[in-house]
Amino acid sequence: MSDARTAIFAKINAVDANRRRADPAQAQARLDAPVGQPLPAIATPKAADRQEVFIAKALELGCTVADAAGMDAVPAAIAAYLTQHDAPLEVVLAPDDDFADLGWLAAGLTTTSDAAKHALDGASSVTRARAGVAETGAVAVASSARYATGLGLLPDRHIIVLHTDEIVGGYEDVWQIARSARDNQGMSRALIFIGGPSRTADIEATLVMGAHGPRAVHLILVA
Amino acid sequence: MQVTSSEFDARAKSAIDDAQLQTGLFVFGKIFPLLRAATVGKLPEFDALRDAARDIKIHTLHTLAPYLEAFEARVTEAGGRVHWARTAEEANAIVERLCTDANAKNIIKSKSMVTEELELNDHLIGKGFTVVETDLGEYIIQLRQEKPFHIVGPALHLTAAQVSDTFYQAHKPLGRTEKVEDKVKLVEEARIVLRERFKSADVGITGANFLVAETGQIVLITNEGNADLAATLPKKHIVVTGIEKVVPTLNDLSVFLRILARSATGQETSNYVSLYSGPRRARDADGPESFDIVLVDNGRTDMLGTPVEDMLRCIRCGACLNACPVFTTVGGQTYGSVYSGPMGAVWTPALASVSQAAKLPNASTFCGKCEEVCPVRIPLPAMMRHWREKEFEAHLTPAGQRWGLGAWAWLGARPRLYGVTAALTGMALRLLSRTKRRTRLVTWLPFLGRGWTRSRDLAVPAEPPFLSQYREGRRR
Repeated sequence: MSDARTAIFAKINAVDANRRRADPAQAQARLDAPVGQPLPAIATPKAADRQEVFIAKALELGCTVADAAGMDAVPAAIAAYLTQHDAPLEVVLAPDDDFADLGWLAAGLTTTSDAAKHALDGASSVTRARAGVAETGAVAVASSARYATGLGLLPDRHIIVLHTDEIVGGYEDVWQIARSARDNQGMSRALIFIGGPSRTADIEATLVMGAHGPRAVHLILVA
Repeated sequence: MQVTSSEFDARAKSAIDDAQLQTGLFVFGKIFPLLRAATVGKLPEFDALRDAARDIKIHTLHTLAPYLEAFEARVTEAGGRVHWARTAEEANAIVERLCTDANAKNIIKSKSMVTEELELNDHLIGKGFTVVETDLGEYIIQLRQEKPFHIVGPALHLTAAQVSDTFYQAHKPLGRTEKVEDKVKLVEEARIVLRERFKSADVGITGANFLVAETGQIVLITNEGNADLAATLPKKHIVVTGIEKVVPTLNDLSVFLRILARSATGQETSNYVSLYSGPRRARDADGPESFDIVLVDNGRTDMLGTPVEDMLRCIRCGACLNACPVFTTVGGQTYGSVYSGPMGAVWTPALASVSQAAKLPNASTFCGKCEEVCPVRIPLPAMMRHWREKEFEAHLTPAGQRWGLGAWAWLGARPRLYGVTAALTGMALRLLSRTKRRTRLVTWLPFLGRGWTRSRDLAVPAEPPFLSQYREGRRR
């Protein structure tokens, strides 16, 4: 252990010993069984309203939203979106099994799986997500073998495929999903809530989309 | 941390005369509070969440050791490394060593107030590394070699024309010879230039808004996504942050996620809310090869158990700056510290010294707006008063002011004499007053009083005086 660590803890412990408010056992109990905090109504919409609330919030964040009857209909929905936005009919696919057997070619799309950082400028990526959060309209993604985090950061257009039953109420629901996916190294390396396109207001407080990340985030909700 | 707060008065005068700066301050003083109020108004539980946030922070600061130990253990399990630094020098040396060991040359950074406090960039650049800030505002002020104007909007005091000049000069050597003035085009230019920096960087340095003890995750909150690029593309991710950022669990984190963006920019959520722990896992499709966290003390443990401990609750939203009549008149650079406004007036004396920062706790009208908007309910005026008392005790207060306060205290300890003096003063003021817009106001005073009436009017004291109204039970 470093001298600095020892010294910092010695100072903290000296203060704690003096005022006797610290209770390590209580802290451990709280870590083992996290206590509930006030849950605002927006984080707990009724199951029947969840999808509608999520879509409304996602639109507020600047996302575009389309639906697809099933996974089979996803390639055509993506082709329609790209055509509508005059974008090339080429997509970088996340290495996700869910995309393996879909009719990309039949929908007129060229696909690659090259997620190297040099290949993504100006590209359109297609990924799955862990959850859609009704509270904010953001989509939760997590790093894994099936999700390269760069796919949600470098391309110009990020197309996210989300099942409607993956829409949850608030942050707490995502924590449950993340906790249950823990392995011996803990949580996934990255858990990112993507709330629409990248943006900045750093010049004269004027909002400009496409700061560093995607200029467009398109959600495809699969029934 | 370099502090030049003694020049506050002179800089305040020139800031007030700077019309361009005043336009920028309008955004902070008027627009941001309106945006905040609108979003807060839509969340009925906002005040309950503030209470919860305050209680979580108080609990954590009372129980810091076990939570920091748990955080360290989880980070280690995830394959990351935790480093501890007592001072800015130690922190900077650790980061330098990590970069040297990785044979790094190019470093990209996302905005972090702690690294501003440590002056990490200057240190690394001095050692031969290339360090580029990637938050757009922070990039602009780095190019201009300025200090951040505001902890959330570091470059909002500049006009698009100034940014245009800065970019033109800085990007000319990169072959960009066209001068653009349009804001959308300026953002695009920064995107193109910084994209290449991101891709060629060896190390990404970020701060952290929160540390989660339960899971060993660091939390990064941005609108641009630059912190995520810094945490993803380079082979090395280094996090530099203060030990006070730890919260117990993800449940506790939710509370802060619900109040931070609302308080800072009036957004319901920032666009990227990201939790990171450890390096790329064996199966992961991408991510850095190593993950190091430098946990910095730099004066924080000295605040524990003292009257300014509550300042350690701060989540750097900037709401107190936007609410402050002083900050929104004189601007951030007047304070001569990386932390400005009410939160800076309390942090700066703690991090530097009372003597270096004496001006700052005095740069307040004690109107209480800062405490009113603080999402973690920090009693900012009370703590500024604490520093004023320290300043007085240390005999740093100017002689005239000390003499005046002494005379006041002497008088205050003699109620009868105080009453007579107050009555006489009230009479004199009424004699000098005149009616202005249907209010009795004193517009001219002789001697010392001239200092007041030169720039503002003085209200006439209540008649009969407060104390006699109080005795008669009309006031309680």
